[in-house]
Amino acid sequence: MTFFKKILPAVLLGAIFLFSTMFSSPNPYSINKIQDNLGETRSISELVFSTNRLELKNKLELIIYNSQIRNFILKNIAEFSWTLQESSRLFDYQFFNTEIFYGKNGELFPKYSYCNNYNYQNLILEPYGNTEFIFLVLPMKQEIENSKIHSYQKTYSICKNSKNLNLFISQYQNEKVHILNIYSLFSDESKAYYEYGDTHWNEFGVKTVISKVLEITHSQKAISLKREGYKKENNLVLSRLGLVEIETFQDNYILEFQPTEIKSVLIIRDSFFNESYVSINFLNNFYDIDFITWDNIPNMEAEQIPNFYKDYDFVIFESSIDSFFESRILKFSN
Amino acid sequence: MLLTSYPFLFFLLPVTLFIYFVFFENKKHYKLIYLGAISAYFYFIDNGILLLILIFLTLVTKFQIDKKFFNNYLFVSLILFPLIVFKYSYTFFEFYGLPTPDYIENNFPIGLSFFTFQAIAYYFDSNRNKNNESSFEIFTFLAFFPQLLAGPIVDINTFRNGMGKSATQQEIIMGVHRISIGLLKKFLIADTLSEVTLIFSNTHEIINLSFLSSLIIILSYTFQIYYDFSGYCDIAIGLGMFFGFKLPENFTKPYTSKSFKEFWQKWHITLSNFFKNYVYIPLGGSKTTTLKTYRNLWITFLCTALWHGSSLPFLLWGFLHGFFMTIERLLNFSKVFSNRFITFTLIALSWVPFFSKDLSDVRTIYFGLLNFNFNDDYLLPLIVQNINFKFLVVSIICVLSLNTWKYKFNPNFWSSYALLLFAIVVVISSSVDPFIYFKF
Repeated sequence: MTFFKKILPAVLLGAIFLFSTMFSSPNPYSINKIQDNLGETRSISELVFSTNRLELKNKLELIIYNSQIRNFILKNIAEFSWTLQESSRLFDYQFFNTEIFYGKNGELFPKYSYCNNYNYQNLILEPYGNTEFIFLVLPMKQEIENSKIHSYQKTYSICKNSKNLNLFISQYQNEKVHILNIYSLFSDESKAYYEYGDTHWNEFGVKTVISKVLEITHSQKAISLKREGYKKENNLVLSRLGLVEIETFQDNYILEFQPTEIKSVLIIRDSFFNESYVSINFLNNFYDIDFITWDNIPNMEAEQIPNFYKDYDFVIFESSIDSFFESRILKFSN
Repeated sequence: MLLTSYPFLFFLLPVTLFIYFVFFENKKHYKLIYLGAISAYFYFIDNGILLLILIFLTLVTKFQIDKKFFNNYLFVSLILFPLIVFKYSYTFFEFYGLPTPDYIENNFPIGLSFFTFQAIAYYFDSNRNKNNESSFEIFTFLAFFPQLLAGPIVDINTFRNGMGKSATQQEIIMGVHRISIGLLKKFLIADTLSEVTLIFSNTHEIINLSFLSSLIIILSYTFQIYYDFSGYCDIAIGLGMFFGFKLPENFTKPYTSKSFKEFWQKWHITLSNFFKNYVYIPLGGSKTTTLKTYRNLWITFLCTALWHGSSLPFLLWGFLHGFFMTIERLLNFSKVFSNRFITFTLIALSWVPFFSKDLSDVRTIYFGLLNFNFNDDYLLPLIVQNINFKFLVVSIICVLSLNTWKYKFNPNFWSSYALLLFAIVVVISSSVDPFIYFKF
């Protein structure tokens, strides 16, 4: 018995590794560690005696990261902290994810990674030929739905990104460069523009923005929205980063507008134009669309850039505001 | 390999313990070979060929002990040579406008300062002569894996006593308790606070800070460095207990000190003792003229600062401590105006140069403490969004840790293992940040 009590720490710690090896999770949580595969396919027992030290460490680490034990523990912590979140509205009880925080009623908000004053000058923002640019620079959820944040965070946890956008508009907006001020579009505090458990816009947010885009692209005066039924919210971020699955519903809206022509549009997109939030079928009613992500914008010489978009009527640049002013805006620098 | 990394905690440690308890626990000679081999492997995994530095220090020390070939100055210079190359040579290269060689720039043997100092202390230890250790014994002594990377700096008697005995069941329970406490200090407290301090260290060109940001950053770092380093030491001490070693304590509630003198008796005790025994006392200590005592004090703090790094912020940190110690002595501060709050405040303020990238950051934080306009403080939103329930609980623990209550909790089997399970849950739900003190 004494002997067993002595080796018990080894047994307990070793059991975690053993079970992790035997039971790996099909959908492990937040694996942001990429294994640098150097062509190494040897087993751990072989790697222990090899000089490939980094591969061994990576492999051991990933076994735990990928294990069902870890996922089980995280899931239970998430459920426990969510119970606190629902029963007490005093604090943000998020325990393990450092990218998100919770509001008064458990609403999910994204954390800023940078917060600064930007004043970019000398950007090249002159569309070639008949093409026009539309900028959809999406505010962070907390900047719009400020009343849903805990009161101890309300005053001091918001970056002044609207200032950056106003400056950007005043410097670069003209008849061929349209910069939507979504702060003023999303200004009705009684309405929700973002999903409850997500950092992206909801149905009302989507339709509000799209109606304004249609007004530009199809030269309309005012396109109104009509409420029609309900639909389920995605809450994808809450499920992916908070490990909490909940079901919430939102009003469904339709646009009171029938287009007479289909415009060709290139969308340089961020995550707001993901299929889950804006379906291609819906957009196809108005546009002939091509998508490209910001990362995939080819590096070109300044004079070649128009070749990239000259066949489109409009190019829509869609980005969350923090990433836009932090780095993406530099795509337009000289 | 970090003591808190998954590969160590859940693979190398259990395998090492299992083999040790089954085969080597009661066989002194084999225990030495086993611990030496495991320690070498432990160091090799993170540092590769740099393991040769440990072997170099071992062989030079043994050679000097046996042959007395060098005088003491030359021997110490030789022992310090790898440390100077890897830690300070970039200053030399910068001074002469030369590029630092890639190998030196991209590699730092983790824990180099610690085992270098341990080798020096071993050579000059009066207890050394009681037993003539073999080269392998000296290697195992220097490389003993629980304390290899960040101390505590161990004397040879501790090592000899540990080699001669195996752990009792109560010591194992105590070891489990200390390791669990160490893991919780690191993962629950230090890493939660680091979410705030990293905002400061990851931001370049901070122009403006307000009182609130500066205060939160200073307090967070003050407690982070304590819980980070003392957590590591708890893990090292706990691991030592498994193998029969009683490693020395490195911290005894330093933030409850009433003076800087008391603080340095409670903070990083083994390093303080090293500088006291091998710098301050050989220079004459306080048993000399008043002027020379102050000179000795300033030299000791200069060495302490240089040990942490040769950059200006570290030197400023050493200067501040030397300055406060001097004021204390001059005014007999500890008797006239003994106050825990003031001492804690000054210690917290003196950490600013320690964690700042450069002197401009130091100035920004200090001036921030006087700025009550929160509008232009662009770090404040990043900090405030991290203040959640976990941060609040951690803050309460930090404040409560400033108490001076005297009670002793004797862990038993159930309490220790319950704590271990809780620690494992916290570890598995966290990502691993390296310890602050590994870079030294």
